[in-house]
Amino acid sequence: MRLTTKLAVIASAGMLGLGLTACGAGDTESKSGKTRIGVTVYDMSSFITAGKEGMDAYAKANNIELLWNSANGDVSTQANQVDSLINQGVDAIIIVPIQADSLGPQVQTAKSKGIPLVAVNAALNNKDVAGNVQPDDVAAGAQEMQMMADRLGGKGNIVILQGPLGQSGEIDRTKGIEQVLAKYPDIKVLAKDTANWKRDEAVNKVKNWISGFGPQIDAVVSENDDMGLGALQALKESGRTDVPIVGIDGIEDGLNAVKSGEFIGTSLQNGTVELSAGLAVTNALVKKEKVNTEPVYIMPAITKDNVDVAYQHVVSDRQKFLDGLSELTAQNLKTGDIAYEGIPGQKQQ
Amino acid sequence: MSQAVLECADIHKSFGGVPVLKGITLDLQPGTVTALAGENGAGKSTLMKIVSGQYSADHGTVSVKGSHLTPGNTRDAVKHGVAIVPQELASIEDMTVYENLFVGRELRVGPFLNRHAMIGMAAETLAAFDVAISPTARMGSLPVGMRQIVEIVKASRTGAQVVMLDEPTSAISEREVEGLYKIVRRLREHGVAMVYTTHKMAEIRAIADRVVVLRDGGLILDEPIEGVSDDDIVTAMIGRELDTLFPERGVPRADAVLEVKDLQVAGASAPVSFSVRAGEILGLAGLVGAGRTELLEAVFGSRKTTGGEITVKGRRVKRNAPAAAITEGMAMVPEDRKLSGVVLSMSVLDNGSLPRLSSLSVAGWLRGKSRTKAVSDVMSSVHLRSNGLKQSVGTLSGGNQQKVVLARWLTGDVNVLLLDEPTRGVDVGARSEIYRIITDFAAAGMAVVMASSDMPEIVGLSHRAFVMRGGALVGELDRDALDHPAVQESVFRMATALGGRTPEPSSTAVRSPEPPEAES
Amino acid sequence: MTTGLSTDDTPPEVDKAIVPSPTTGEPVRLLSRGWFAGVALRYSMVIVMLLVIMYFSYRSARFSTPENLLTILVAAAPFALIALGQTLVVLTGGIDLSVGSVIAVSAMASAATAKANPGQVWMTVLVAMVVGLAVGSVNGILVSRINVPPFIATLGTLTAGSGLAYVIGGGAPINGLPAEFGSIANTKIMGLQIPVLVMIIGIIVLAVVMKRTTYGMRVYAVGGNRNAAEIAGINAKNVLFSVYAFSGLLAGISGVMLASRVISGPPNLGQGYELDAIAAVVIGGASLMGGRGTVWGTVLGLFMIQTLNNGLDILVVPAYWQDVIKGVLIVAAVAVDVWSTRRRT
Repeated sequence: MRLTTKLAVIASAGMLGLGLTACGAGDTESKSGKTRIGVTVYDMSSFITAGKEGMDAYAKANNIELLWNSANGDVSTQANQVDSLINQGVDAIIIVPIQADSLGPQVQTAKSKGIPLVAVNAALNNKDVAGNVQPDDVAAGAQEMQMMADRLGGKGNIVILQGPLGQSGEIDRTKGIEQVLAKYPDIKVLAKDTANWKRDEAVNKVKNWISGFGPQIDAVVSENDDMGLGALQALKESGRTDVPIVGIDGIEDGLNAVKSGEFIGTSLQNGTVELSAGLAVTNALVKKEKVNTEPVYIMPAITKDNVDVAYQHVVSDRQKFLDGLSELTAQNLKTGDIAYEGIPGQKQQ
Repeated sequence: MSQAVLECADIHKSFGGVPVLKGITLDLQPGTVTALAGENGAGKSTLMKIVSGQYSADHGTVSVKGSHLTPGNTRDAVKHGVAIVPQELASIEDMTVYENLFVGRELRVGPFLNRHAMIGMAAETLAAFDVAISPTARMGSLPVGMRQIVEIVKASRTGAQVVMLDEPTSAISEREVEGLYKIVRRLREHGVAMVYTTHKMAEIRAIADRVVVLRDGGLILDEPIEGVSDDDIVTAMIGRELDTLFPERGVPRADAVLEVKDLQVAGASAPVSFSVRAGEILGLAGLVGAGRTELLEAVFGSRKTTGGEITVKGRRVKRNAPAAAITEGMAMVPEDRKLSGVVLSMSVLDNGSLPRLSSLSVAGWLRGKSRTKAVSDVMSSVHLRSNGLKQSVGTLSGGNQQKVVLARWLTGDVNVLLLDEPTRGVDVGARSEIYRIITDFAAAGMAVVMASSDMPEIVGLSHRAFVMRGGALVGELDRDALDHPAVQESVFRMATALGGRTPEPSSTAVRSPEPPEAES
Repeated sequence: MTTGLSTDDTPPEVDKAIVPSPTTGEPVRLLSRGWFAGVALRYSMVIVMLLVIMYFSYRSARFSTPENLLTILVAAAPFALIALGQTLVVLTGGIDLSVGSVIAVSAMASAATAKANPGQVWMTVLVAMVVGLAVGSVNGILVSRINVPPFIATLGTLTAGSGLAYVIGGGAPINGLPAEFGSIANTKIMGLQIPVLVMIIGIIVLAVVMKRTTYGMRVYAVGGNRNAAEIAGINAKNVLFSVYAFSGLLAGISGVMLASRVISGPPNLGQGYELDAIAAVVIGGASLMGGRGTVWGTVLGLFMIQTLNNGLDILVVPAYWQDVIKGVLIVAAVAVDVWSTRRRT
C-alpha cells in the first residue's frame, strides 16, 4: 500500500495499543488494598488442583488476590507466564516449576524489580529466589522405599515408576529411594522408567513390564499415587492381586487404595496445607514480616492405621478442614513444622 | 434447423470489478465442432467454466436443450449432460483408468463397488473408441495425451451432449494430436456438440466446423469455417491487421559465437557438434522425446554431459556449471516457464533480477534504485504490459510472462540465447511480438538456438535448422530446404527415421512413458 | 502395449518372466536384482516390522507369547481408532490435529457423566460419541464450508478443546468414579476386551468401505484431484465434512475407552496422541498430499509403533529413546515413499 496509508495504519494501531495498556494500568489502581500474588504451576495435576483449594481458602481469609496460571508441562510457557505476571506488576510470584534448571532470566528480572519470587512444591536451582517452600522429597522417597523394604522383608524384585525426568520432585524422590536401596542388597530393581506422573502411561508401562518379567515382579514402588494406581490397574488386568504397591501424595484415590489394602501405604502431601504454607510465606515477604523463608514440608507416612484421619482432612470433612486452614497455617508458620495437621504419628512442635 | 443443444444468453462475468465477459450469446448445434479462439484474457476459459458450473455468471443464463442450468453447480451441469476436459486435466493420477472413467457414476452391487463390471465396460468403451489402453493401468503412468483421451472418453461415456476441451493440444505431442482429432470426429458423428479452445490455425482448419472469436470479453466473430480466411480470424483476435507474423530475418555475421564439439549428453545416442554465428537463429526440430530440451540444457550446463567441448566467442566454457555458462554470456529460456522459468509468486522486479543477482547487489544486499532502473529499462525494451514492476508474475498473461523470462537476461551481456518452445502458451498477438524480440536479439549479435515443435515457427524464424532424433542430430536443413513446400514431411521422415509413411510403434512391450515436459 | 494409436503391426513377443516392478511399474525380470529392489522398496515397512519382531523375540522369550500379544492389542486399541480416523482425513489431503483434545474432552465429559449417573455406563459412551461427533463436525464445517486450511482449523479446535477439558473438570481431574465405569475397557467378550474388539471391527469395516464402496472411492477421488472429482459430479464438500466428523467420532470413542481403563478423567489425557495417529498413517505409506494410502498401511504403521513401545519397555529402554526411534521411522518411511514415487512416475 502507499506510504501515507501505511503510516496512517501504523499510527492508529499504535494509538489503539497505547489506549488498551492505559486501560490495563487503570485496573491495577482500582483494586488497591488487596495483595496481588501471581501463581504459575507446571500443570493442573490432581495434587495441584487439590492444593489450589487450600491456597484459595488462605487467600480469602487474608485479603489476597491470586492470579492462577497453568503451564501445561511446557517450560517456555511457564517462562512467558512469569514475564507476564511481572509486567502486570504483581506484588509477588509463586512458582511450582516444571524443571529445576529453568527460568533463570525471569528470576533475575523479578529480583531487580523487587518482586519476591517463591518456589513452592518443586525447587528451582537458583540462589536468587526469595523463598523456598519445599517438601522433603528425598525423605519422602526414602520413606516409601523403607515402607516397601520392610514389607518385603529386605529381599525381592521391584519396579520403579518415576516422575518426569529432570523435575526436582523426580530427582529428589529417586535419590531418597536409592539411599534406602543401598542398604538392601537383596532387593533387585528389575526396571525403572518414567510414566510422567500419569495414570494412563503407567498402565501401559507396567503392563509391558509384566509381559517382560512375568511373576518375577514382587512389588511396585511408584513416585506418586496416580502412577501407582495405573500400576494397580495393570496388575489387576493380568490377574495379579498380590503385588504390594507404595505411592506418594495421598490423593483421594490413593487414600482409598490404602484403606482397601491395595496400596501398602503412601506419604501424605496435603496440597492444601503445603501450598497454603507457601502462600503464607510469600505474603509475609510482601508485608516485609520476619519469616522463615525456607520451611520444609515433611510428609507424614500414611498406612492403614492413620488413613482415616487423613481421609477426613482430604476428602470427607474437607470443607471443615479448609475452614480452619488459615489458622492452622499461621500456627505452623510460627512453629516451623508446616506439615502438621494432627495426623496420628505427627508430633506438634 | 435442429434445435440448439447449448444456449448461452447474454453472459456477463467480472472478477474483482474487472469485466471478463461482456454479454456473450452463443449457441451450439449437436454434431458440430466449434473452435473458440481468442487471445489470452479474452474470456474463453471463463466462458467454458461458466457452462461447466465451475463459475457462476453475474448475468445471463446457460441452458441445455431448453432447461436452465443452476449457476455455479457442477453437479447440475453434469446431470444435464455437460462435460469439460480442463487444460490442466481433471484426472486422478493415483487411480486406475477405469476408476477415473467411473468416478461419480460408479457401478454397484448392493452397497459394494462392482469393479469387475466396471473394468469390463471400460475395456469395451475404450475399444469402441479404438484406444488401446489397459483399463487397470494407473492413470499417472500414461502420457499426457493418453490421459486426455481417457478424459474425453469419460465425457462421452456419461452421455454428455456438450463436451468442452480447454486448450486440448497445449500439452500433447504432434503424434498424439492425430489421436485426439480421431476421437473428436467420432464424437461428432454421435451427435455430440463440441467446443475447444486453441491458438493454432492449423487446428482450427483441421477439425472445426465453425469458429467463434472472443476479444476482450466480447464476441467478435461467429462463422462457419468455410466462410473465413486465416487473416480474418487473426484480425478478429487481435483487433488489428497483422501483415506478417514473422519479422524479416536479418543477415547473420561471419564470426562463430557458439561452437559445440562432440558434446556427449548423458543418455543421448551420439555426440553432437555444431556452431552458430552471431546474428544467426538455429532451429531444432524433432518429435517429443528427440532430445532437444536435453541438448539445450546440456549446453547451458544444467544437464550432465560426459564429454565434449563448448566454446563461446573463442573461450572454453566449463561444462555442467550453469553459473560458468552465465558468466560467459549464455542465457536459457526453458520450456515450462511456470516450472523452471519464473517464480510466479514473485514480482516482475524480483524475477527480473534473478539471473544477475550478484551484479545487482553489494555484499549480499540488493541495490535498490539501480536494480529497479536496470529491470525497468529491460522490461520496457520488450514492451512488457504490466501494472508496474511490483506486479506478481503469476498474474500476467502468458505472453507477458514469457517476455519477463526473456527480458531478464538483458540486464547483462548475452552472447548465446537458448530457447525452448518460446511461444508455448502464448497467443497469436503476443506471439508476433516475441518473434520480433527474438529477431532483434539476433540482430544485436546474439547466437540463438531455438527448439520448437511448431514447424511454422522453425520455418519462419530460423536461418537454418537441425532435425534431432534420440539425442543426435540426424539431418540439416538450410534455407532452401526450409522454404520447400514439403518441408514438414521431410522433417517428419528424418525425425522418425523412416523411408515410408507408416509410423512405427514408438515403444516396446511394457514401458512406462515419461511425462511430456522432460524429453529424454 | 503401444502408446495409443492402433496400427496394423503384430503384437511383440511377450516374455512371461518379465513382470512390472512392484515399485516403479517398469519391466523387470522376476527374481532379478531389480525385482528384489522393487519388492524391498514397496514393502519396506513390512520388512522392518518383521525384523523388529524377530529382534524382540530373540531378546526376550516373553515377547512372543499370546499374553503379550494381547497386551499390545489392548494398548493399541485407542490409538487404532484415531489412526483410522486420521487415515480418512489424510486421504483427502487434510490433517486432523485436534484428536488429542477430543480424547480429553470426551474423557472428561464421560467421566463427569459417570460420576453423576453411576450405574448408567451406556450413557457415558453415548456422551463421548456425541462430544466427538460435535467437535469433528465443527472441524468439518470449518474445512469444507468456510475453507479454512485443515492445519489451521484443527489446530484451533486442538487448542480450544484442551482448554475445554479443564473447564469441564473445574481445572481438576475427575476422580472418585464408580468402579462400573471400568467395565467399558475391561469386560471381555470371547477372551478379548471390548476396546480390542472395537478396534478389530473398526479396521475391517473401514478397509472394506474404503476399497469396495462408492464412498471410499469418492474419498480417494477428492483427495487425488478435488477439481476432477467435482467436475465428475461428486459433492466434495460433503465428503470433506464427513471425514472430519468421522475422525472426531472415533476420537470420542477412544477417549471414553482410555478414561475407562484408568477409571478417572484426567484433563490432559490424550495430549500429543494426534502425532501418534499421524505417524501411524505416514509410516503406513499414505501421502500427506492426499489420494494415496490404505487402511492396512495405517494398521501396519500403528502396530509398528505399538510393538516398539512394548518391546522397548520389556527390554527396559528408557522412554525418550522410544521417541527417537519413532521419529527416525517416520522420516525413513516418508523418504522411502517419496523416493519410490519419483521413480514410479
